[in-house]
Order: sequence, then C-alpha cells, then structure tokens
Amino acid sequence: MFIRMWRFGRTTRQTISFPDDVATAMADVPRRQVSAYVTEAVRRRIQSDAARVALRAAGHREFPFDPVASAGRLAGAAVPADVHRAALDRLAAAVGGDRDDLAARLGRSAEAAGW
Amino acid sequence: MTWLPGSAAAPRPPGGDPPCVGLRHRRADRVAAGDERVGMMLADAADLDVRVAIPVICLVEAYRELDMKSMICWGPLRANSAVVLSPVEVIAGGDCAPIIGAMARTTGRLGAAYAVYTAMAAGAAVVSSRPDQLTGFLGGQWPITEV
Repeated sequence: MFIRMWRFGRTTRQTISFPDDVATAMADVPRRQVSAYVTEAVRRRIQSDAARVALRAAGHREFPFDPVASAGRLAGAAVPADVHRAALDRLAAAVGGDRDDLAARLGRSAEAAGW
Repeated sequence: MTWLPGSAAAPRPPGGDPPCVGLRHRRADRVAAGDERVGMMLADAADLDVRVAIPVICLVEAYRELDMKSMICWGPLRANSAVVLSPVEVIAGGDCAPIIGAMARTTGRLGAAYAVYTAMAAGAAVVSSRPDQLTGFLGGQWPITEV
C-alpha cells in the first residue's frame, strides 16, 4: 500500500506493509483518506515518543506505549456533573457571587485558554 | 504544576474529560527527580493526545522550592508537547484574578486557589500533594490524585 507522508510542507511516497489485522481494520477507511489516517496515527506516536524523551531527561523510567491502558487509567478522571455543581455552589457562597454567573465566567476562562 | 486539558484541536480522551493535574510545590523536587505516578500520567496524556496544564502561579511556587539541578530537569518536562502553561486570564468578562484571590483566603495558597479555579473551569481531575487545600471548594468527591 502506498501512503503519502506530510513532511516539511510537502508529501513523499513510501511503501508500508501492514499486518493482516491492521489491514483488515483499515479496509473500512475510504481510500482517499488512508494517507491522512496513517499520518494522524504516526503523528500521535511521535508525540508520545517525544513525551518519553522529555520524561527520561527529567529522570523518569521508560513508560510503555499503551493507549488502551492509558485510557483506562484516565477514565476515572471524569468529574461527575453533580460534583461540579456542588463545587460551584461552594465557590459562589465563598466569593458571594451568583452560581450561574460564576459558571459563565469559568466557561469564558476555559474558552480563552482553548480547553 | 497543574495539568490542564490542552489545545482546542486536541480531541478529548475516551471516557470523559481530560485531566487537570495540580502538583503542589512542596514535593516538586521529588517529582522532578522522577515521581512514578506523575511521569506515568504525563505519558498517558501524551498517548491520548490530552494536554496537561501548569498554572503559572503553581509553576512559580514550584520553582521557589527547586534547587538548580531540579530546575534543569523541569526544562524538558515543560517542553513536552503534552504540557501547556495556564496563564491568569484577565479577559473582559472572564477576569479570574478577583475570584482566585478570594479563593486563596480559604485554600491558604494562591497556587492551590488557581488549581481549583482551573479544575472547575476545565471540569477536570486534579493531582496534588495537598488535596486538603483543594477539597474545601472541590469537595470530597472530586477526583483528586494525591502524589
């Protein structure tokens, strides 16, 4: 299979072989989108590898690349809506503001930060 | 140090909101030397294309506690693409300075107040070595990982 890899503002063609299970999964990707699909995956891996370089430089051990396990570990990071509302109530009581107004202000901060 | 969800272009991870991690300055030296959980969370964030934000106030507090060797270690960590700095927003209609200042009266520390503000704005979990400074606002059910 031929793919195009975006590199320094241009594309190059490279031949890549996939194991059968990956090739089967990619059969559902429209043919014209295969290059973008693969490019996105490679870029994500590059980001992960770069993060590990930074971590090693800071004295950390090597962490295995395992997005499934990562997703499992971060799954508990979601904040339940009722917990968020209760925190807003406490904040409103502490600063003497209206909860909805504070929520809107927090939302604007989040938007400004690009979260 | 605080982790925030990252750029608008970054997709959210499967299973919920991206994490917001607050790391109190007291143990910043230990983290710089290689705290396992923090390192793993940074790797997880990179693998899931989630950004980790560091509120600037927390960063300054952390540097206050670091020796020169540890400061050098933080350079690569800050350069990590999964890590973004979170400035104090003073935009029209979204000026967070008065709120953070008022919150600091309860948390006892500006960095903790800023971490709480960030967590609430992002609706994200927190990592801290002093959750006791955060639960006054966030409550006991807010996902906080103690490091």
